[in-house]
Amino acid sequence: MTTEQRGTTDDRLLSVRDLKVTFLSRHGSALAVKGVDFDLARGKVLAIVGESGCGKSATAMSLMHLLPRRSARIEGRMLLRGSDIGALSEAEMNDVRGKHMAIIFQEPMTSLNPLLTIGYQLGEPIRYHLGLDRAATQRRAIELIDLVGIPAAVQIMRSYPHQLSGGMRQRVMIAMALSCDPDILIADEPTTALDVTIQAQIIELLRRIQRRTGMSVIIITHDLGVVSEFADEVIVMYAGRVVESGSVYEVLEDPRHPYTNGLLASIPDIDDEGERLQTIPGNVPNPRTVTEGCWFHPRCVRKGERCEREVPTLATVEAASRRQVACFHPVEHNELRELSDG
Amino acid sequence: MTASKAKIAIGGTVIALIVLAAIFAPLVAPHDPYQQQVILRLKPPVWMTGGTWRFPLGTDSYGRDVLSRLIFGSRLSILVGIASVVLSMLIGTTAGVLAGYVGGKTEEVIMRTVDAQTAFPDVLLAILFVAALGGSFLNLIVVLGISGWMVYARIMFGLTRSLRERPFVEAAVSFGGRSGYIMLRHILPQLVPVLTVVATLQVGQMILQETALSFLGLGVPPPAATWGNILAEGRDRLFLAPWIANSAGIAIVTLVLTVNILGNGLREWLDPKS
Ligand SMILES: Nc1ncnc2c1ncn2[C@@H]1O[C@H](COP(=O)(O)OP(=O)(O)O)[C@@H](O)[C@H]1O
Ligand SMILES: [Mg+2]
Repeated sequence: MTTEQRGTTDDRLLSVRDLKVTFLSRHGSALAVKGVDFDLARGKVLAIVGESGCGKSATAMSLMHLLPRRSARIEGRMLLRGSDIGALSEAEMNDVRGKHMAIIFQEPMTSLNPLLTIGYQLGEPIRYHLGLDRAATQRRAIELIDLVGIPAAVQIMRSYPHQLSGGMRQRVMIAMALSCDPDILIADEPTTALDVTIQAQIIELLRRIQRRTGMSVIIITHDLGVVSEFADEVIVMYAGRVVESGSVYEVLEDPRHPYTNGLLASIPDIDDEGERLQTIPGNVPNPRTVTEGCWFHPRCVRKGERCEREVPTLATVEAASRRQVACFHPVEHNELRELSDG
Repeated sequence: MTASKAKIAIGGTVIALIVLAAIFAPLVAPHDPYQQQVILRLKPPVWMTGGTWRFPLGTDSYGRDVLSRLIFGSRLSILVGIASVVLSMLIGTTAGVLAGYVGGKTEEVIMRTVDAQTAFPDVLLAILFVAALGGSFLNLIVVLGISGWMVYARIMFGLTRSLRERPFVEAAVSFGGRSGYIMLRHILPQLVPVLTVVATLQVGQMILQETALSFLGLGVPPPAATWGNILAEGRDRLFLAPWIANSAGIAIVTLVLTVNILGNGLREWLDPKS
């Protein structure tokens, strides 16, 4: 049901509305995702950016129903082709996971079972969902290994995870994720644990495959370089909320939220090598703590009196575009990468 | 050679000898363990005055050869030990993995049952069981199997709970793996090393319990040669013929001790921390 349904009139493949994630524990509850909205169009790449602890993984895990039911409460709607996957039972969700939506994680070193061969594990999603016979499963697995650029496919099939490098293992994970031609691939910081040189290769691989298959991708990262190279749309998350969203071009060239601006100011610029990097002072608040007003105001250089009292909502800032910002004092046009923290 | 390997070698060798003797009992044993010869009753072992090499460990009050009875008795003790461990391992592992993986109500029910049965004395349970069904080889295995599953349930529950958080299990779930498949293919194989150690140590425990139940008359009924039965018969002649009870006692202690040495050796060998 993948190819036929592509390109229908509504090109929104996934719509997330008011997604909330609460982690419950003995010490009380923590609202880690506080009402997130976004759309993912067919064939597009959406980046979710933000510092560690902003709720990016919690958002991704909710989409896949991978958070433990007893310790995480999920509210809101997650519409996949118009039907709410949030309401699916565990058994129904098993038919979605790995088939319509697949996810790859940050830890390629530990994401494969050490006791099973690569070939066996690569065949798992195929066996779960496609019901192919042994020979066809094997052929598909070899095809996938070739697709993700691993040489000597037959030999790799017989090896165990410990015989492969981190980059190779992440390629295997990508191959597994692609095995059933998912409509959506979620990649949660897929390169964070890898060497810098390997990182670029993996992103390049993802981009190439995305172009070729036309699948939609949600890439979670805190690397804005990855965003600019790979993504079409971006949402910036801070403390469980979307603070800015829009096309990659708009958001990176003309950030309006002070937080986005701060993130951009903290990446090294090739042009002015000598300049010291500016980082945003302070930390992402723990979801258990309560902040009055805007969640970012304690770290914000532009805060005003209103920011300490009221929570800004995400609103369209320019009539002509879809980009949205949640800020009372957005950064002006072309006031780029200035942090007057002097 | 490390200490753990020495333990495995020593324990393994002694157990292998005992098991071989048990398997080839008809060839190894000098006499028929059930043959009664009244004129030869209560012969002392060879090192005591009046002892003879014909009956190295002496005879019992029916004139049966104690050594032959011990050799044949080991068959039952070992069989009961292994079979009851297999049974309790099956029950306990299934329960523990289910509780740890599924969680929620399933976990509540299983783990509260474990707590309740742990609080209930094993011997009392055995007495109730045997009183209801009668003593026999099969009932003994069932009673021991049912009384010993909680150890496995507890350990496997804890391990499964931590395993299900491991990235490779999470990844398998994220690709659409069904719960039953994940438990069998991804969780269970990880449990095998620990299961091996616990099961080995439990074989010793079960043999000891089998002896205790037979001694109390709740095991396989006489005249069957079991170590517990030999011990119980020896008790009645403790002053006149201490060698009967002593031989059985030493056999039991030797087997249980070597099983424990082997189990501890395996544990140290498999434990990456040591
Ligand atoms: N299983 C969990 N139980 C309790 N709190 C959690 C759990 N997972 C994440 N959190 C909390 O939720 C917040 C968001 O986490 P996460 O989504 O992992 O952030 P990100 O992926 O953006 O780094 C963090 O404050 C984190 O401590
Ligand atoms: Mg994360």
